[in-house]
Amino acid sequence: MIEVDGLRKSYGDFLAVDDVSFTAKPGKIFGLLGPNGAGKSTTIGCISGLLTPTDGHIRVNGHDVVRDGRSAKQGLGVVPQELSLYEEVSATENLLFWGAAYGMRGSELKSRVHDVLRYTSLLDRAEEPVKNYSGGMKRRINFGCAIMHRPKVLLLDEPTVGVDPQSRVRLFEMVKEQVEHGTAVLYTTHYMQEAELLCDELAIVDHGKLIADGTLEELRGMVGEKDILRLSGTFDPEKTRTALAPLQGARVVVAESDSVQLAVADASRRLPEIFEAITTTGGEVRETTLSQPSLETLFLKLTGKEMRK
Amino acid sequence: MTTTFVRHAFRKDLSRLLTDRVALALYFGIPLVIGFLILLLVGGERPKPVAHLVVADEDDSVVSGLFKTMLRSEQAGDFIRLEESDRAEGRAIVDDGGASALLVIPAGFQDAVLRESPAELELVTNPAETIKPMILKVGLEVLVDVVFYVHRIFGNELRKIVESTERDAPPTDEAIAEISIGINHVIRRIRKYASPPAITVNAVADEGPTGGVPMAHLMLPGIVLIGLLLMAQGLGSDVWAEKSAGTLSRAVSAPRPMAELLLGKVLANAVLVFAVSLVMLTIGMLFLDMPMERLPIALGWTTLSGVTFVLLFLWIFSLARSRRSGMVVTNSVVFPLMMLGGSFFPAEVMPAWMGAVGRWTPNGWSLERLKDILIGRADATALVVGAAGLVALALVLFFLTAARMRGSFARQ
Ligand SMILES: Nc1ncnc2c1ncn2[C@@H]1O[C@H](COP(=O)(O)OP(=O)(O)OP(=O)(O)O)[C@@H](O)[C@H]1O
Ligand SMILES: [Mg+2]
Repeated sequence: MIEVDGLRKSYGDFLAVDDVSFTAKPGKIFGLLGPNGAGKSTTIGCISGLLTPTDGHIRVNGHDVVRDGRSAKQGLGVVPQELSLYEEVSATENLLFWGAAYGMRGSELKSRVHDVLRYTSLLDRAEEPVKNYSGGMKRRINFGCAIMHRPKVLLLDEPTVGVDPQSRVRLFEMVKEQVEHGTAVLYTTHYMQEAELLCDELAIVDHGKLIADGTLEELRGMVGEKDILRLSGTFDPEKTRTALAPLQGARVVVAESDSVQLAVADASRRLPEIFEAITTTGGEVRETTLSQPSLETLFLKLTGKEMRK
Repeated sequence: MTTTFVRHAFRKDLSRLLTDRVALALYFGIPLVIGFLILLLVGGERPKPVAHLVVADEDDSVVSGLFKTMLRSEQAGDFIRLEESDRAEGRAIVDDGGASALLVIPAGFQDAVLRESPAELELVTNPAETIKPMILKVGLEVLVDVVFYVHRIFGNELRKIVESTERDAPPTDEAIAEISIGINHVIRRIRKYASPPAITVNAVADEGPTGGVPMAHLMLPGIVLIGLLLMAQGLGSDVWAEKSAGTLSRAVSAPRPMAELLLGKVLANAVLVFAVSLVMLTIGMLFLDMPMERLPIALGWTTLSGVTFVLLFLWIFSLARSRRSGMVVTNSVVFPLMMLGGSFFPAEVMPAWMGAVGRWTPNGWSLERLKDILIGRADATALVVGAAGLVALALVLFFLTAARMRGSFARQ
């Protein structure tokens, strides 16, 4: 369990995290979603004991990270944003080292190394220097080092950046398996889809401030009931706008010569109406996609800008 | 404190050190090269092991003749006994253990030198011997450089002679002798103006400021200390390796104290310092015919000193803004330290003020006692006091470095 209460962190005059509070519960994935520079890594750094909070309180499994840092760290596994490995030595040696860094020893340490190697599918390459590994393998061992001591709380800072799809899937599986064992996971990302796919609860941060939080359903509710309908083909933007304007409960978000986007309540049933209106303008629809209200829409609504990729 | 983490920190750092082959070669190689050069300049007074070198000259040119003359020269003659033969026979002599090595000067060597294109000399060493072939190898490398410099300085004359002899087949011995006399003459003249201080000192070595101890014996500890300092500088940059790999900040978020990680690192470095000292001291002491029973204490001393230097550089690097600026700062520290601390010329022949300052540098402090140990004039109390000084410094540096590593250095 992580309890963050009124966290502030400034670098000199610059306030990187401004009054952020949330709770990450056992057996759940809590997502911290925000664009570059939002303050995600800074928040993680304060929780992991790398940075000292300027203000506010953080407790990990009930231990205050400032006053009782040693106990707080003991229950915490950290998967840093950048690979953090000794690349010259083998996966086994890395695991032994990081296990020992969390106070593991003896036969327990040894057998756990074996388990984690198997778990990360690296048994057959275990004695090779990590620098020979592929990017995906490095990500896996980077994850393995963090779970050596079976932490109750796991911090993952954008673990899928630069990862191939296959390794990404394996990583998601591994995270979910940790959660099934009752681990509380804090997961930062700037990929909306990833957050939607993975997280039970979410907080959206921007410029150091928490701008929305709740479950995925709660957050979707904040956008409204409307679906997003994307049409591609050939259109006359002006005529299309005029033709669609009278439709009840529909709003044109984008109208261009090759694409039109609408926010519509109950879109699937109203497709014929929409098509008909477009046909009268001489437009032609070649492809339609319908999506549920997404975090992207929410972010757009809350900040008035698109989340940068 | 758990020893488990220290042990694993030690293991991983030792593995990391051993995988860096280039750095290892430098740590072992630099002192040997410097040592050879300095000893060549100073000239040891004791008999040295003489290496028996068979030369197969397949180039048979003016330049290869010049090269052989140098190998026979006064200075090289102290180390090398030369015999000429051809490749096959020379090989047989070496294989029978009759010589330390076979040197093949390949056809085209002269052309390569004159055109300043890469030339390769082939050295087949006797596997049964270790030290002599190594001396030969280092010596030959130096000589090859000399040949190139000779070409730089006398290039035109050399070419003229080569051309004149080419017309009437193989160069005569007189022609070669003439060139080497001419060159010797010039070198003697240059020396008067450009000789390093150590050489002028050499003239008064016996009854002069060194008190009857052979100059080479006074230089050995200095060379060892150069090796240790340069190695410590290289090892000190490891805090930046840990930082840029991200392992440092990961270690900060782990519960075991940073001091344990640092202790493991220092112990791994100690193993390397020990190994390099062992090689340097053994070769140096054998070479200078010093009593080997002094080796163990000397080795203990150099290891303690080397570890202290490593901590000094780890700390300086941890204060730097970047690895590069760390390199610049440590470079501007390490050379004055060597100079003041008596590595380039012994404190005995320094100006008084310099000697006084130099004695208080960490390496000067170390060198003073190492010299006493090697010459056999160390007394127990002085050594204990000396060691206590180093240990105290090492401890202070240890805690300063650990504090940097878990503090702002990891975060910036
Ligand atoms: N050591 C530092 N000194 C000064 N400013 C910093 C420092 N570290 C981070 N910042 C600033 O704090 C803000 C938040 O940075 P942070 O790394 O927490 O963002 P992030 O959300 O993790 O971004 P990203 O998605 O790019 O990783 C940024 O504006 C960054 O420039
Ligand atoms: Mg980040």
